[in-house]
Order: sequence, then C-alpha cells, then structure tokens
Amino acid sequence: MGPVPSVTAPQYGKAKPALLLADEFFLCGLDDMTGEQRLEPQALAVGLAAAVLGELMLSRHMIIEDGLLRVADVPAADELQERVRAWARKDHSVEAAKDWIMVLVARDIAELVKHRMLASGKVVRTTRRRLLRKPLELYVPPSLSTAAAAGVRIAGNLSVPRPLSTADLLLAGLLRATGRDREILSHCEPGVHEELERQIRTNLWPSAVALIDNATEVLVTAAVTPLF
Amino acid sequence: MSTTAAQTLAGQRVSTAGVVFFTASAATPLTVCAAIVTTGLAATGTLGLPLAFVIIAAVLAVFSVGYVAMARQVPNAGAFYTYVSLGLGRPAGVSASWIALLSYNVLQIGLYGAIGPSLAPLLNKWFGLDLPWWVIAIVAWVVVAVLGVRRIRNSARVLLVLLAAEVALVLLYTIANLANPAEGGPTLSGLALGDLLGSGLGPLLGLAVLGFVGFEQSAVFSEQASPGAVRRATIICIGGLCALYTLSSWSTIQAAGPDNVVAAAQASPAGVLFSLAEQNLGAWAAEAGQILLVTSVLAALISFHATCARYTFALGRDQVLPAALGRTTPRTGQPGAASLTQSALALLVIIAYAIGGWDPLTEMFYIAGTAGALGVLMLLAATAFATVRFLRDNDEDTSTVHKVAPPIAAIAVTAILVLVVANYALLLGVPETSPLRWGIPIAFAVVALGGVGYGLLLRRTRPQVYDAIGRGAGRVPVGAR
Repeated sequence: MGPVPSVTAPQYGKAKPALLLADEFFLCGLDDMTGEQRLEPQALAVGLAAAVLGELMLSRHMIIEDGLLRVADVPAADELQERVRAWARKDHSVEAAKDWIMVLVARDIAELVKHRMLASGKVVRTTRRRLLRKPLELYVPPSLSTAAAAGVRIAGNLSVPRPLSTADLLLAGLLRATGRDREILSHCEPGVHEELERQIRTNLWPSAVALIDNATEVLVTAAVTPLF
Repeated sequence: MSTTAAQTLAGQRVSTAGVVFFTASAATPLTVCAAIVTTGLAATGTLGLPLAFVIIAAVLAVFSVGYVAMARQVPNAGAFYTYVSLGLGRPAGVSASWIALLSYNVLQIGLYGAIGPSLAPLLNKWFGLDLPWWVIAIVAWVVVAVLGVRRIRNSARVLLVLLAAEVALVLLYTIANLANPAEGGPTLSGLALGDLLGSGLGPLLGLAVLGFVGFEQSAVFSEQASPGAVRRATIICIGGLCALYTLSSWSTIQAAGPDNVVAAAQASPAGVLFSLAEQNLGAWAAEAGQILLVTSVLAALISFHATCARYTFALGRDQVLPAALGRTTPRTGQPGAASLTQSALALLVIIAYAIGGWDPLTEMFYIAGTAGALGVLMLLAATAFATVRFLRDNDEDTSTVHKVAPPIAAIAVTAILVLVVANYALLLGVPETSPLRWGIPIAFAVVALGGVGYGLLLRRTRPQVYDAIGRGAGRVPVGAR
C-alpha cells in the first residue's frame, strides 16, 4: 500500500472521551428486561467488528476508499482501537474492508470488546443458571436501562424527526445491518425506517456508508451460505 | 498475532471436499437413482437414460467453465438471477428470478410427494401402521420448516455419513445387478445410441438434467472457498454423479432385463430398484435402501428449501419481492421471513393434494420434478448466454477453453430445451391431448414474460430499485436498497 491518501490527521490535545461505538452496539443488542444478548453470535461479531472500524473512522484513523481500508499512521488512544489499527496498518495481505471485518470476526473481536467493557466497568459478568442446560454467561451493565439508552435516543430522534449525531447514525446503520433496528424502532411510526435511510444517505460521509454496506454484505453472505 | 490476516481468512475457507460434499448432497443421488430413474423409465417407456446422463454431464461440464468463471466475479446471493441480470440485462434478470423461484419451489414441494410413498411401506412393515401419504408429508414439512428458520451447526457429519451410505449402497446395488443380469447376460441396452434417438431423446435429456439439479449449488461458495476449489468441486461432482447415475441406471436395466424393465417400472415405480436388491442381495439390502431413500428425500427437501429461501431473500433485498422477505432474523441470522413463506406455500400444496386425492408419486413428485427440470433448463440456457456476454467483456482468463466453452454450452443447452419442450408429453408420461402437455411450458413462458414486464415496469416506476437489481449489498449506495 502506498502513501495513505486523504486521511486527515487526528486532532491531539483535545481530551474528548473516546466514543466507543462497539460498546454502544453491544449494549443495544441486549434485551433490556433479561440482559441476554439478542443478536446471534455471528451477527454480533460482524456488528462489533464493523463498530470498532467505525470508531477508528470517527476518530479519523481510517477511511474506506473503493472498498479498501486505508489506515492513518497515527496511534489511536484506546488500546483495542490501537490494536486493530496496528493490525490493519501493518498487514497488507488483506485490504478490502469486507475482508477485514471477517478477519476481525475470526480473531474474536466480540471477546475483545467484552473485555474492554469489563475493564472499564461498563458491564459486569454474571452467570444465570438454567434448567438442564449450560449456565448462561451474561455481560450486563450495572443498570439495564443503560443498555436501552442509545436505542431510546435513536428512536426518539428519528420519530421527531431530528438529525441523529454522526456516531448515532453510524450505530443505527449497523443495527439495521444486523436486523436489530426492528426491535429498537418497534414502537415508532413506520416512517422512521425511511427517515433513517434518508439520514444515512444525506448525513453520513462516504466511508461510513461504505462501512455499513460492507457489514451488510458480510451478514447477507453468511445468511445465504449453507452451514455444514 | 503471528498469522497474517490473509492466513486468518484462509483458515475460514471451505475446502474442495466441503464444496463437493455439499453439492453432491444437494443433488441427492439415491433419490435420483431410486425414484427419478425408475419413474422416468415408466413414463417414457424408453431405455436411453444411461447414455442421456453421459451426454448431459458433458454439456454441464462445458457449461460449468463459464458458470464458475462468472461466479468468481459477481456476488452470489442470487446465483442464476444475478448472472442473468449482469449478462443479459435487468429485465431478463427479473424474469430469471421468477423462473428460479417457481422451479425451485416446484422441485421442493414435489419432493413432499415422494416422502410419503417411500416411508409408508417401512412404517407398515415395522409397526403395522397404515398412514396416508400426506400425514408423513406434513411431519416432514414440520421438520423442514423448523430447521429452515434455525441456524444448524454440526449437522455436517450426519449428512456426510448419510451421503456416503447412499453412494455406497447405490454402488453395491450396481455390482449386485451386474452380477445377476437378466437372461442373455449384460448387453449395451441403455448405452446404445439407438435407445436414445427418436422422440424419446428430449424427455430423456430432460430427465437427466433433473438428475443433476443441485450441481449448480457449488457456486454458492464462490466467496467462501478459493476459486480453484469451486472449479474442482463442480467438475468432481458432475463427473462423480455421471458415473454413479449411468452405472446405476444401466445396471438396473440389465438386471430387470431390457424387455421387462419398463413394465416392471410401470407396475411399481418406487420399488424396482429395491425389489431387484431384495432378489440379488437379500431383504436387508432393500430395507437399508428404503431407509436411506427416506433420509435422502428429507435431505433434498431441506436443501431445496434453503435454496428457495435464499432466492426469495435475495429478491426481497433487491425489492423485486416485498422488502420484508429480504431481512434476516436477528436471533438466528437466517432469512426467516423467506423461509416461512416457502414453508407456507408448501403446506398449501400438500393440503390441496391431500384434499384432491391425487397420487403423490406420479401426479405430485414426478410432474413437479419434470416441470422443475424444464424451469431449470430455461435458467441454464439463459445463464449460458449471460456468461457468454459477461465473460466476453470481463474474463481475466483468456485461454481458448474460456473463449470456446460458453458459446458451445449456450447452444447445447438451448437445443436440449427445444427437444424437451417438443416432446414434453412423453416426458410427463401423459397423452399429447393432456392439458399439462402445453399448460406447463406455457405457464413457464408466461412467468418468464411476466418477469421481463415487471423488470421494465420497475425501470419506469422505481428506477432506484431497478438500478440495484443483481448488484449485491456492497455495490449499492445504502439509499438505493
């Protein structure tokens, strides 16, 4: 890969708390009554992989150009983000964003995100015993209403309708890719789906749109490929 | 991380063996040998089927050159539909998608007609139960419908064992049949050109195509397996199935006797293979075959159900069908709505046949199978022409084989299609005056034209949807979906 084109250097010094899209995505997948993860493992992993790449895009460490992932040579603040950034920066055997999502899935991105959330105290690990079945391992926030917060925010803004913040819009796009949007927007008017689509189309920058499309394609391919 | 990203990806890839195994189980060899070959003998009354298998395998091998080359370059969710869209234009693609939906649904639903008659004798023998075919069909329907909306892992070994058992059993039957030929010893009947030529040519070729349906599934893995693996797997499947079908059908003719086999097949189409096995090997062999036939039909039901759901899903995504069908269920990651729709359709047909009192084997399974084969042939022909157009502009491989094979395949498949339609009554086993003789080809033609019309309508009324047809998720701006 040649010199990285058109990646704006990240802004240092501004000690803005890192926005952790993947954490939000994980929480959005939780059932706010039981704390169980409602996304099946593959959808969760693909969503989280795309969300981590999304974090790096929001902090301007990455862009997608012609379907390829381009990475800035500037360290990211968050440990997990930096790990992923370093992988993608140093390893040029895979360049397509779609392939990188699959690589991250294969490298257990879901576990890494869960550990990051555990370490920062956003979730605690509990087990729930079940009759005649293996105990269920749960990662739940101390208060389950936290899990619902992003979804409520997105649904509320789309219902008005009011523009979502860039991060929320990307989150909503990834939730839609996994099918979780139906649950989150279930109590809204049907028009919110078109509103979401309109906002994604007009308000997101091309790399983010490409990220959502790539995540969608990975999930569609998984859905139509027979398992054996 | 010591491994590179490319190695990580390669570790996720499906191997050649995996693709072969999946593709072969989609073709369900025992169902073909025990049900399609014998009902085909009964319906057409001619012996040329073994040679027809060889000819069709050769045509499909030529066809697969262009097919596999194209599969590498386009998104796969819609398979035939995507290829035709890209090669022959979007209206033709919509038309192909409608034909594909109809054909695979007809094939899948027709199989429900086969499972009752194949399980009923066993239930009768073991438990003294005398169940109507539709009760068994509905039980099978429940299994298929439930599995269809779930993501089943680790079922691979079960299917692998079943497939291996099927192939081994068919080979065992073949050897036993050849060891015990009818009076006069083994002859070339069935493999001689004379048996194939004549009015039976089209129907026999059509039946042979029906036997190979499923081979096209290998391209589904064009993104998950290496291109070489898909190519190898396709050729291995076509070659292996060809050998198996040819040997099995030829040996059946030899064992029953070329003069008697048609009468025997007409007397009991589902039983010929097994009564020969019982005669040559003993009751255990026949019983093992009957059990495996049931599991084979069930596996075919599940496999075709998944194919139907995939097509419906791909069309829903492109909004050629209602968009709700193009969504996955978050809890399973599977195309749930598409799967349920197919199941509902199948149930309606089973109920209709049960109420109508029609014969499940000849009037449901065989008619549906031959109708499905006609549809698949139409798809193969359209796809063959699409690969010619597409590869002329996009092929990376400029070897002579890649230049010559697609046009030859297009001409050959079209010729077969014409022959099948010309003698369709013989294929169905009905008189020329039967309404089905022209009804089925006309129905397919109407659906094909309807698809083209709908494609043109989309171009005028919903250009965004029209533009997205056959392009897959990653190649479309989000808004266009």
